[in-house]
Amino acid sequence: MKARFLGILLLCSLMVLNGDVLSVDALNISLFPEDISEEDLEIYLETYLNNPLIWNRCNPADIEALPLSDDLKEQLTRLKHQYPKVESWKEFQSIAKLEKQELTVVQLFFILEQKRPERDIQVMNYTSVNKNNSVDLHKSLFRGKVEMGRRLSIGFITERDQGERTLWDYRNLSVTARPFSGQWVLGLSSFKLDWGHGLLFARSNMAFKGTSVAGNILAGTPRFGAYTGSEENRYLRGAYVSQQWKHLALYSGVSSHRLDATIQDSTVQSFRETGIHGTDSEIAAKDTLVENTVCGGLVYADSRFLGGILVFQSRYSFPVRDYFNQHSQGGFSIYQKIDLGDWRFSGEVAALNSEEYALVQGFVFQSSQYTLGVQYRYFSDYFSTRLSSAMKKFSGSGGNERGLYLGLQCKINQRNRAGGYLDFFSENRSFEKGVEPHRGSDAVMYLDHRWPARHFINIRLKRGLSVGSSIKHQTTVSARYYFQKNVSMSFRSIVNEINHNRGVGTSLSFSVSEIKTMGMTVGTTQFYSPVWDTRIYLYEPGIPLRFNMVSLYGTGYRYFIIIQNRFRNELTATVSVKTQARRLITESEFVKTFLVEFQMVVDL
Amino acid sequence: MYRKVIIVLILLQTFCFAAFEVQSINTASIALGSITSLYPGSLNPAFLARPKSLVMRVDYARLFGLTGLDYYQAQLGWSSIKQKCLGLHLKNFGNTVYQEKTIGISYGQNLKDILSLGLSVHVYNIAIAGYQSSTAIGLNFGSVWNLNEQMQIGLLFQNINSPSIYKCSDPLPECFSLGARYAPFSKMELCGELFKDTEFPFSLRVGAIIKPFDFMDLKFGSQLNPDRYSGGISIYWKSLSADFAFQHHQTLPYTLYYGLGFGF
Repeated sequence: MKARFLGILLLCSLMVLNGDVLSVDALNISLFPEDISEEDLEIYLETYLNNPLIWNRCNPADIEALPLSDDLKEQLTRLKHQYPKVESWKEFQSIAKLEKQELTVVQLFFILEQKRPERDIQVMNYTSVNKNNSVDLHKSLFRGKVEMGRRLSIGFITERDQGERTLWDYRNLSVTARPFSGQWVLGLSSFKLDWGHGLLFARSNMAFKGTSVAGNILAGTPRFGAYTGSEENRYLRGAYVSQQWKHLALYSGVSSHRLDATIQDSTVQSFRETGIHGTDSEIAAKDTLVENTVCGGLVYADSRFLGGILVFQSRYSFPVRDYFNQHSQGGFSIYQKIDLGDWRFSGEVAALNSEEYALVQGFVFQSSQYTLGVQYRYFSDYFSTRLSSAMKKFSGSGGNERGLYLGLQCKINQRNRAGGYLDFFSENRSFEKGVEPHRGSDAVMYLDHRWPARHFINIRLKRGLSVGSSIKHQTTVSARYYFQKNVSMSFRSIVNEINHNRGVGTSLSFSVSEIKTMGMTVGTTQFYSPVWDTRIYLYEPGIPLRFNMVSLYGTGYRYFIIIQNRFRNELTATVSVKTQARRLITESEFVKTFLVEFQMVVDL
Repeated sequence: MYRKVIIVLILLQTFCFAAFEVQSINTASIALGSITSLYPGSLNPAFLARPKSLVMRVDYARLFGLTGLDYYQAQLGWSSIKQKCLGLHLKNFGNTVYQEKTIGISYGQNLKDILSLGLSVHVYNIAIAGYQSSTAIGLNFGSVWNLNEQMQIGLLFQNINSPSIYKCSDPLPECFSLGARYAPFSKMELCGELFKDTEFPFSLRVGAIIKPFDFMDLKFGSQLNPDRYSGGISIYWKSLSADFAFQHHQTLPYTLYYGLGFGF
């Protein structure tokens, strides 16, 4: 639920950046799971914002990994098979038979290799003020991107979190250049590498376990991408170069990056990834560890087969406990994707110099009505890399996991879709004496129904089982009803149940859009969660590009209003005010807090 | 004379500011509650003067009316027809025992009349009698967002490179300002600003300009953290402007500010 709305919010923000006001019906609201961290989802979605796919060079698996509605993905995949290269958006729209709104969504995720404007500038500023104990500046973020034709692109970000003593505590820059007329791409400063299933680096498919079967199981095209995200550690800093020939592609990069880490007894005890530098210990941990990385990869691709090999070596200024107290870590990865029509196979195997290894292999069967997929994963006990983003159940450092994912999606008819997944997981071993390894399963089922008038309802049931522990049930209902084309009511509710304790969070909001250039959303959230285990994570409507996740524990209520206006057709300003009154079940007095956010986005 | 100076220095430490904490004595800004991110001549390098113009300005203040706490500031701004702006400013504070000097150069560029971006470089020098002087360089980054003809938003980051004087022992203020100007009528303007010095509590500032005559502006302002109010008047005659402002302090006497501008 939370991630669904997270996705919607980001995509709404993408729409803002793209300069149009859209409905979100083209997006797959049941795509995102509940247990993804907002950082992971932010990185995943920002990747598309900063590095849209090039239509003429992407493949169907790349399309399937997008957080779009199944209908739209089907259309695009079909189009990709029939027209692998398209010269202009006008041609694209006519052959794909897309509505204007759908085309606008597609333009967020793809670019065509046509002549681009001489200069394109996008700048965003976000400022928030909150009241907890006292009123203070909560967050300040400034981000921008300058594109000079197709040859040069420069992105930057600056950020300060609450309590940090430095104004631009986090600042970052990325430069992407295409200095030659061929397919050479040169990147400087901050970047990330999407490779296979993310055993070593970031993933090139869905970055989380969700209900999109093909998106989870099939790997996309590997690539380097510019990084101007707000996650302060999970990227590389240096230079990369990639070159694409007809069937071969070469990737190589070098990085020297200062990381936040907790160092005791001259050993890295842990990497710190919160990005907060307010307290003395947080400041002391900032940029304390130097990581030097070199990596190189080669990929072969034709219409049915894609395979690649990647090697890397990282060296650290202090020995790292998770890497067997070694100063360095190296390894390789081989991944493959085979397309046999309805059947497609995808997998990756990676090994480290510590003799730890991991394996992911799966297949997808896809017909016009059904998509069925299976994926097996295995991570040896100490398999761990800093930038790994593989789909796993157990978070934290270290591998120690095996699992089987079974997914099914069914297109019942034009208006109804159903699906779900079943994921079995287990630790290989327990590191505590007398304690058996954790194991269990997650089961998710969902049903989507859409009416011709754009109303929809989405019901999702989840059961989480950990052997020897309690069963957790979660029911999520999400619906929207349109009174008029531009007036709608949205409802979302989550019920968590564990050990006969039940937590409930319900949000109701009304939205009006296209009042000249203005849009407004007002709403309320009511919640009751007697114990910590039943706490609710709920995403509310909010400022575009920000992730408005609220963790609701105790009982209370929230009110929110979001007003957005477009000025001069190129500048969008949004103000959001959110108030909350909350108390624990054992307390009698409500604690009242608020958050005021302001954001401006300009696209010149 | 020296006894007076010593008393002044003690007072300065007790009631006033860290080094270079008073970054602008622009009379117009002070009168509007010390708003720093809005209006030409403020600290925001992205605020451009009207195209193809040259503006000169001097300001003077004696903090709390105390001898020895004298501020002088001179500014020069040139704006090209291509909506680029170059500025130079000099500031001096103090006396023969304690002296702060600032020299700054700024550059601003307007993009499609919607967004202006600007950068300024400041050289800070502090000299204390009997001690070695210290110099630091600070960078300010500003932007101005023109929502429409009635409304502007200003954003200013001061000392983004975290400069400090005396070998890192005394970091200079790092401040964030987000200001908004709204002119509902031709004879009235309202403005407000969120101001945050990373070492101090958050401060809210509001101000208003009333224009009873074409040649006169009346200005009022107030701020929280520290709580104080201010006011002023500006008189315009041909290319000349004369400004006066006062600023309240909860313990010390009022501070009076005087400014003179010339633009052509």
